[in-house]
Amino acid sequence: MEPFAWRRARSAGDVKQKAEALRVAPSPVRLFARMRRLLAISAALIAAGIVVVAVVPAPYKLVTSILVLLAANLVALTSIARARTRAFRGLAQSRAEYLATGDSIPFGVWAGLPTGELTEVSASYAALFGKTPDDLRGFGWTSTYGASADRVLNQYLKRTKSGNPFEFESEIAASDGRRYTILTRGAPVIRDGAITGWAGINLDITERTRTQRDAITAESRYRYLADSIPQIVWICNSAGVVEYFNDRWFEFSGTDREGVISGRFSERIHPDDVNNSFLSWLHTSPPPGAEYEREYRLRRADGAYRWFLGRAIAQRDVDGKILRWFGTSTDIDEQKRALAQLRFLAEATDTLGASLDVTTTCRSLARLAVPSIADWCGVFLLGEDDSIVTMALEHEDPEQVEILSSIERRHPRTLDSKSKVSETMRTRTPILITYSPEVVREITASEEYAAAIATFGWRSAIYAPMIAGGRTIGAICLIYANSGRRYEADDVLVAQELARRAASAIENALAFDREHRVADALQAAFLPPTLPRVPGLSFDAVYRPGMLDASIGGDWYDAFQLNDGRIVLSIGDVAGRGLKAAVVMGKVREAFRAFALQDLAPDEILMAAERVLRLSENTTMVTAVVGILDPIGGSFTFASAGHPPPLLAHADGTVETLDLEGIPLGLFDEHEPKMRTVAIEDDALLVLYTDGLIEYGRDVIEGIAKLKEAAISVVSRRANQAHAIESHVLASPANDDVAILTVARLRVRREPLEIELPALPESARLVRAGLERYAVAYGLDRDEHFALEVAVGEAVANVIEHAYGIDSGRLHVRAEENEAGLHVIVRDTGHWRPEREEGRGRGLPLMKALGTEVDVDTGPSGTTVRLTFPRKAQAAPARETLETTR
Amino acid sequence: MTDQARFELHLNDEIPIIEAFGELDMSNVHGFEALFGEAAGHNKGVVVVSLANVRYFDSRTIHALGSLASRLAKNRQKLAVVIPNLPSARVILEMSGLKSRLDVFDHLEDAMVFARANKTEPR
Repeated sequence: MEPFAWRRARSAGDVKQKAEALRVAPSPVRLFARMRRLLAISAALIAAGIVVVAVVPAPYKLVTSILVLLAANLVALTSIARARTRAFRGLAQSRAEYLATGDSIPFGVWAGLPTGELTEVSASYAALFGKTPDDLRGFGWTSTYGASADRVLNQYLKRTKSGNPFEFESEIAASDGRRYTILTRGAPVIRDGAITGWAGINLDITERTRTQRDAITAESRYRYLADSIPQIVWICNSAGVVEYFNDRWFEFSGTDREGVISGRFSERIHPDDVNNSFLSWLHTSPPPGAEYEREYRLRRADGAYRWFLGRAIAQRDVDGKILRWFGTSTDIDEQKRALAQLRFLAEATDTLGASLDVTTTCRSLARLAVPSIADWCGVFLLGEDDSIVTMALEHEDPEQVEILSSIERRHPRTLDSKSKVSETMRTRTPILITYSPEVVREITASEEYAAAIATFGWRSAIYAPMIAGGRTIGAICLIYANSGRRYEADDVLVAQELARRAASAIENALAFDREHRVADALQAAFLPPTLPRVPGLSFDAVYRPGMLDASIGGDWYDAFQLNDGRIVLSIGDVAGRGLKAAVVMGKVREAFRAFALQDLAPDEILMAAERVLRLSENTTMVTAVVGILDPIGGSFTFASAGHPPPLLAHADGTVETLDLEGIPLGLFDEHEPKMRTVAIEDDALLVLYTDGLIEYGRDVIEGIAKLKEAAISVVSRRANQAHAIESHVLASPANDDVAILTVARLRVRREPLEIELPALPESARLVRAGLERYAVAYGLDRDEHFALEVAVGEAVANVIEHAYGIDSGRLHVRAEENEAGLHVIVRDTGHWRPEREEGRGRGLPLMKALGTEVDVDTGPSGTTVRLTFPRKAQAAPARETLETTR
Repeated sequence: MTDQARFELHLNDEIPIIEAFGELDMSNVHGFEALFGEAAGHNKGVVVVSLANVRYFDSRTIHALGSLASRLAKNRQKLAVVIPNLPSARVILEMSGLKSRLDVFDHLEDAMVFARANKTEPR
């Protein structure tokens, strides 16, 4: 409670400003005792006709002071009335005594009749108007009231009519020009049980009234100030219990002023911000002099949270003890949002620029939006046929995303659909909506979709078109649901800006994609369209252009079969990118092919290619590995021009790095590359690659380790080894070009071979190809293989040339293994004709001469030739067969 | 010429050399034979045919070589044949009965030594 200054008005017109300041201890018990004492003093003073007023120096606590004052006055009034009744009885006998008493009282005493006529009045009172008591007797007194004389007379008549003591206030103008506020009090004069007249006093309450008016003005000013500022203002006691809120709080919270207000603030603070609340801060026992300043979110009447900056300062007593806290809560939601939006847009620009892949860009966009500016985000692209493709859906709960995705799949959109996504694309204008059953009905015709919207608790959404180069390419949709947030008009601007930046990024990605496709096509033209198909070998290759640059790279791989059945493998990397690198790459690759066809060894191929490269104006550095694989012998002879070493993975889970010295082409005029031959045993995997594969993680050693691990993991595969290695080593698309070429030597299963072909000359070669696979499985060496091919070839040639004459027919070949050896059956359904022409009679003897047992079975339904190749005593393992010849 | 095989006729020291690569069978032997006339026309007393780089040949090839040998013999020319260095290849040649009518070598270099020694100028 604030200190009160008490003033005593000693005489009319002479109210001195003498006051005694009393400090009241804050203890409620002491406070009450002090108030009681004050009340008693006031009553006594008032009863003695002394005006007691309370001067309130500060605007607050006015109500308390007024209450005390009024109570004191009432107590006094009652006692005065009693005293006066007693006194008047005496005064009736002694008028002179009464008037003498009246003169000692400021503004005097009076006596009157129920009719309003004044019978007695103090001379001191009449003197105020420069008159004598006689001048005022009868109705003479009304002249002192001027224009308000009738009103005052009416007041008197009305109050005296009740027969009870009364009082009323009026204003008078003294003859010296001063104006006074007078409190007139009256009590009935009773004689023989009847009211014969009225007597009373006039009290000067001018000062009291002015002070009271000033105090009311100050308080209302304060309240007006507190209620007009935009902040929430609150006052709480030293324990943190709220005693006062201004209007802003009640408007914001939607609560009324009735009832308990403490605790209502805390329950509206966002759960995540409770530690920033004033109470939490107070509980941390802040050091003396500390002021509270924290940010937190408060829940508005509509459930939306807004950011506030809370501040509080303490009011202390002389000892520094905290009396109460004055606090404000300033709405900083817009600033916070603006800051968050700026930060978000800056982050969005970075993220969106990070990828040149359309799908990745769309997904990044959606992930970026949730949860910063949305609970749900959808990214949609417009197809050429006006179909709308959902590129990304994001929400914190993947299960809900899956539910929505499945609904989206069942309800595809087009540009003409009812959906808001379609509408924003059509109108090229952003849309802000708040979901309600009516709005949902307007958005979708699907009950399923409407039910899902209700389940997901969608509250509000912004749809913004993505426009790039004046063309609508798609739209984004931001939705608030479970967070309880709502979009406002300002948010639309952010969504639009995000859509604009996203459109630009996606357009870039689309352009990059188009360029990349062109480059890929060009690159593919330099790569072999097909890989050799060789029995017992499995080829696979991958070429993956780098993601950093749309221009064509200089990596290549090549594999083709020579006429003698051996296979030339090459892989290489031309330094640089673009057309120049591509031209050099094409030249080197073709040179390798040409020299290999001329039967040069790998080291000679490299030397010759170096000379070709020298002739070129565009000399550049080329690294390469070129080698010749003998599928029958199972060996690989290669030379390297400074290229990463090939790997050879074995079936036992070990990996060999096929190191070989060599310097890149294009650096020195002369070069003598070394050559190395390695055995490629059954189930082994040879891996050739370019450095993009191992430099992917910017750590070559780690890259090679990962590649070795990948080679082991795919060694047992019978197909797609290069692709499996790529996905094992590259977690994401590499920046540099990557080429991988793998050759696996498969252990061929000794299953019967069945061939049925038209009896035509071209079929002979296909039969040989089938037999070759079988020969590999059977472990025949080159000479045995040749003998088998020639013997079977003679039988096949007989069928093709003689079995059917000019008619068409079929050729059947079956090869199988049994204990005796390898059996080959060549069968037709035509008519056997013995050879008559010169040279043609050699077939059968030749078969026999080649170490084959031959049995010919001829009948009306055709001819069957059975050839048996006896099992060798010691079949040599395939990999120990002849060294590659050239 | 097909992708199954290819045949080349070139001169070394004016001596015509026919080289075959790939697989020779009934489907393409006529392409091989087509070079014989031109080779014989050089009239250098000898024609060299190399099958060193042939993965497969059969009795049709041998038959063609027999015909060429007969044709050359009429013109007092010799036929030097290089065959793959495989025992079975020799067996085929032996079975053909042509071995006496041909000069057979394992390497082209050896065949060329023989050819140079037997080279004559056209009459």
